[in-house]
Amino acid sequence: MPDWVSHLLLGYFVATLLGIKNKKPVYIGVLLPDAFKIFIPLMTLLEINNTILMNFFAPYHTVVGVFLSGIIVASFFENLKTAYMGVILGAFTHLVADSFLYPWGTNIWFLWPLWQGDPGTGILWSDSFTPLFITSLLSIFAFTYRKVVESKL
Amino acid sequence: MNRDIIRIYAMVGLLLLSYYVLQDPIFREFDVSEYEGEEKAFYFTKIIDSGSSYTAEIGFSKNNISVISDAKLSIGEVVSFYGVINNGRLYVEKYKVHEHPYMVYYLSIVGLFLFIILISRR
Repeated sequence: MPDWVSHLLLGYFVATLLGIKNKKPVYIGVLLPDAFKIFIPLMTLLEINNTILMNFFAPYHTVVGVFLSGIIVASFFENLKTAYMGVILGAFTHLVADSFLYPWGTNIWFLWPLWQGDPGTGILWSDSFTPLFITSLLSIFAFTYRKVVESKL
Repeated sequence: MNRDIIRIYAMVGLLLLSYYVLQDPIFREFDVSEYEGEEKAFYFTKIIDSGSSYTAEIGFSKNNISVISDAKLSIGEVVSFYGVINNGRLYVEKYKVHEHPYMVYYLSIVGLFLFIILISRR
């Protein structure tokens, strides 16, 4: 995964370009596929086998898992449909960004259980600063774009 | 439809998915014999022993693999390898030493604070 700052900046960029005013569901969606990773340090401390843990939470990092967990998150918002669209948009930016990792190829299970192959799209290392640099530039562009549009209204 | 019912349906769906994955795991304990003769990448392994070959610890499964490489690596370094598995050993074709392997976690902690700020804004 790229770091969470890059994910959030990418979510901001996409949401701003699409003119989404309430970006909170998008931000939640951006981190939703990785939300389970908060539990990993805790489970490591409790000496629960990480492989079992990773398998239990693996569906949360898939398209199907995002559709289901997105319903739960969106149900806490007043406008369920709009919030759900925002959450799904944010989560999809996350999954697409993650598909650019692993330059030497790996099985990507985002589309599990439909497909679990190697898309061959990996070009970035997860410890690279490149995603942060690119998403920062995109966010500055989106911020400027929004200001220009607002000034014309 | 009542929102509580929607949440329950979604949670049951997620639990069923998790149960299904536990029965047919995506992540498995690494068994080198399953990949004999195959090309394989190992990301972010930790060098735990060196000598005539290196021993690398693989990810969260903590399994070890013997690595044959010309690279000059030292114990404790985090390295990604790509190569062919032969006789239970990985013969490295390319490798990358990670200078800042934990940077993604540090930045993610910053990201978590950024997220809290963005969410708590009116």
